[in-house]
Amino acid sequence: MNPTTREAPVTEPDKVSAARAAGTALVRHRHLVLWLLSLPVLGLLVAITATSELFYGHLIVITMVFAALATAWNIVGGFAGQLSLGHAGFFGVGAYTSSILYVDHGISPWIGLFVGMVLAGLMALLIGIPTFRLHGPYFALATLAMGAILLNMAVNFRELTGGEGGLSIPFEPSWANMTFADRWPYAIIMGIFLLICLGVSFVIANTRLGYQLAAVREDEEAARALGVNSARVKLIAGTVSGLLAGGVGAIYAQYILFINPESVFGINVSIQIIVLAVVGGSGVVLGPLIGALILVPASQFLLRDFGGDLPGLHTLVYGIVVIVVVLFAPRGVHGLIRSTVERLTAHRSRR
Amino acid sequence: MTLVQVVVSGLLIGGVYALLASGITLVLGVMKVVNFAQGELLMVSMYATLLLNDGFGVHPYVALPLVTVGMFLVGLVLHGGLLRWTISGGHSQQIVLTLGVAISLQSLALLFLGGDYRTLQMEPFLGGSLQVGGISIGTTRLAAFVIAVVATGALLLLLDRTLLGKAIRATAMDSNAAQLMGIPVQRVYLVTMGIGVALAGTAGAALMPIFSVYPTVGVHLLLMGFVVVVLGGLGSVAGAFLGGLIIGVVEAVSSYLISASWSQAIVFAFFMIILLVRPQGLLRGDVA
Amino acid sequence: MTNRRAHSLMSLTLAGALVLTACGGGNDDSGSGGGGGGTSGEDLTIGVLLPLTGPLSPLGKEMLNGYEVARKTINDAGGIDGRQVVYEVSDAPTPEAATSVAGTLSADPDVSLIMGSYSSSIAIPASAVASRNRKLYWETGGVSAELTGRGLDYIYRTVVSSGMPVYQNGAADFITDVAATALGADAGDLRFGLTYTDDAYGTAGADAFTALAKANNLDVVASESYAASASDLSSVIEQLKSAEVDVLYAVGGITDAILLVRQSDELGFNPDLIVGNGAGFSDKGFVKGAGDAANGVVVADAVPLHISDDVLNEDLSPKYSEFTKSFENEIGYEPLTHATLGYAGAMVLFQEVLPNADPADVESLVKAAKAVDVQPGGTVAGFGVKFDETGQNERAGWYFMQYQDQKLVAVAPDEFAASELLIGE
Repeated sequence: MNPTTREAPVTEPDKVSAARAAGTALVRHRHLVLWLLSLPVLGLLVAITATSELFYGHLIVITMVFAALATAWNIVGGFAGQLSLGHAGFFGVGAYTSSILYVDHGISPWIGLFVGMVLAGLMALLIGIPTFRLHGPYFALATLAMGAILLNMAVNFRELTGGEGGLSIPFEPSWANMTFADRWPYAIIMGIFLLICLGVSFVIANTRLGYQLAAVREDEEAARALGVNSARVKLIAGTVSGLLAGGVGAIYAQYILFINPESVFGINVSIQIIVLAVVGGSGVVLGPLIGALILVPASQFLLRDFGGDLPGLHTLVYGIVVIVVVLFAPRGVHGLIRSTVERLTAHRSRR
Repeated sequence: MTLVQVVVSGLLIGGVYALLASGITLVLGVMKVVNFAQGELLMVSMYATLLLNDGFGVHPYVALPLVTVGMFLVGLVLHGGLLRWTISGGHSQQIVLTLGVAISLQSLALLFLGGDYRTLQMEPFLGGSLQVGGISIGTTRLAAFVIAVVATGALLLLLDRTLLGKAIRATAMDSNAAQLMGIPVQRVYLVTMGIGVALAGTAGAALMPIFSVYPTVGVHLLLMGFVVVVLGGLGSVAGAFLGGLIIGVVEAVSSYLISASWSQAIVFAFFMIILLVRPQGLLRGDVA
Repeated sequence: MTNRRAHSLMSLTLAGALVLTACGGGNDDSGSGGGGGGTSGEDLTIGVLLPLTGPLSPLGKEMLNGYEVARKTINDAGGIDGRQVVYEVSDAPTPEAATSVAGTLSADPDVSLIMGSYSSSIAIPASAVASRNRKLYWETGGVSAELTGRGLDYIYRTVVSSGMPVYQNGAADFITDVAATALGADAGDLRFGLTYTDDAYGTAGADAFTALAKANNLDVVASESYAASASDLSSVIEQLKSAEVDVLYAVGGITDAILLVRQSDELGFNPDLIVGNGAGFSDKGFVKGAGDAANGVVVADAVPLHISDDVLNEDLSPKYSEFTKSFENEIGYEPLTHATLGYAGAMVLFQEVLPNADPADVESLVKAAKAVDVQPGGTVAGFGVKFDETGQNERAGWYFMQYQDQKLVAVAPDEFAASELLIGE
């Protein structure tokens, strides 16, 4: 509760200042407002998914999937500034773990979801121990290679994964099987998971860990001189990031009901994740979400409306949008919005 | 004897990896930019070679200098139009920018050239294969290897003996100091990008008689290129050549002794080990 | 460039992108295409779902060519019950995109059914979505046994399944009977080599070959897999050489098929016979790329190519020669495996199913599909069509052709053979 709003007397000139005070209060408590808004927004999205065409339902679910993935990536790629090009690996481990447990052993995907998250997090930890010693392009290329190795393993361990033929998940709809004929339950599950990713991301950004990660990102030597255990904080960030990406993978598998190595472990998945985060604005909590909100629907519409007529046109437009955003908004769309808002308010206060 | 044959085959394909990697390593060493579009630039060069052959009957080895010069110009445009605006930005901006270029080039190829796998038709070059002491050597592969050796040698000479080369090396070591010494750093970046892309042109023309081209051909080769770059040491042209040969041999020998479908995973695992044990690569060097 | 100008440019672009997507959102018919008129009430709309971008696109496009020629053929003949056929063509390059566009097509009341999709990795998720939304899914290309093995109610497949006996027995008969006889040896005395790509098609083909080798006591002395993107197969070929392989059975795509044959030539690996399984070996690029090295190679495929009208049924209309002629007129070259499969599958749909059903009612379509009874030789792809209870065409076939003077000639089974199997130079 902000005292300035309560005290405001109702005289003409003060009405303006009261409104302004309310405005500042809104800005000051914008996190709380956003969090309170998120639930009705999610409810609305689920309602849209339930009532509208399949296309829009799919659009909403798949945007949530990639928003969550990019948000998870952002914890290590944005906050800690460690450019991972292998996040498809964690996504894939989550997807394959829950699917194999379900298809081969009849274990509910809900349990598979957690097992997948734990395995993906564990793997992120194991990969992180050696690779976080590397810096800049070395780290990026090492994670790229790691992703390629995992892709190769998924292709070659055919007894376990079904190889390139993929794994098809039986369609037996029920909440216990996390399988549904409609798309709205997926919107609920994926929406809640996206909120968890955003929440974890928000908490990290606003606590000691977040500041330590930012310090490591800006200057690792200096951070270490100040007493930050850079190896430890990077490992924590990496593990949390991998854990969340694994969870997205498990839900994604239950949604598509078919996975193959290329669709979850593929280099394209890793590339998609980093593009979304950087275009939206990496290093800030909402950046990846913004990137996903712009690019995923755009690519879905482009695919639907131009995909059949002129193959290649939709990916061309996508590529050009990516180039333009990077050139003209080096800090992503989030940075662009922020600087525009700042310029506007600065302009007004000057008047 | 068979193992010798396998090693020779690995060395030959390693030459192509080296050629692709030298362009990446040069740009990375001088401009600190990881160029993810190099694979697609290679694809463009392969198509250029193919179309010169299909349309005008130009032999691929005659087309090679033309494609190299053409790709040099493409590199200049790419730098002047796009990359120079992000040179002060972070790695992620540059990587995403080159990814955007890669996606666009792939799409353009699909739009205008179609997705078909296309192969260059030519008379068997010098009889198709040579027999040396019981070992067969495919002549197109041998030609690609020779081209790689010559191109690497020429690049090393350029870097070592010319004023331009010295400016490039100085910029690679410390761009601020180079600027203070009166070196036009921006122009050095421009020329470096031109040379880097020109090397993709050379590699594409050399590869076209060996391999089919299609819009996504660059993706796999680019990964091999990255492995070679790190193995050789970021920014080291000589290292890239050595690294290319080593990766070619590791791939061939592991395919032969273990399994070809695992060879890629083995190459990447080898790469991880090198990264962890000797992250500076085989030859340390700011472009040499 | 000043900062301000950069910003205004940026906002322009973003606005442009938004307008673009908004247009897309508002105008649902903008995607219907593939030639033909608009979607007036008279037209019969069929959703086409194929990978048209990405690595799967070459053969996806080839299948679309087949569909287009079929559409033109039927429309020129007056359409179906007087209604012109139009396609709603959608690109589905990945399983995820397949889920998305299958959803869009299933939800569209104007689309009477979905036809696709060349690759099993696209067909499996797409047909699941279609079945859940009670839309008929007409598969003309994907061969994975799993596709029709999942108990879906609304899938029908005209092309062969890798789980069908003919797929294995055909190869077994060819090798033990035709090939062994031509080689003048007993199949049990020959040394077999197997190479395959580690993708879905390659592993399925390799599994089938391994099973038939076991059942027929064939001596497989080398079995090698590799990535489809491999740029050097010399180590694989050295393995085959040192194992002294007589007959090589190779499953794979186009780039590796060319590499395999070219490098075998370069490295002096000359088996008595190479049997190539897969569209790579019948692709128009194969002869181009492999040149004279292609001669003698046997291709195992889901359609026989370059056959004469005599080997097909008399009442087949249009005839094989008419099909190839209109394909060449429309597309510009002769039809190959996937174009033929696409055309044959689409024509069965147009001639045998849609005229006997209410296209807007899925149960009526199912009834008509179940009643289809096309005798062997009744399609340009050679095979007949009758669906079993899973929706698999139990009359789908498996054929063997050989490159003779750089031209494919059918050599087995007997009813399609235009030449003997030739061994040696």
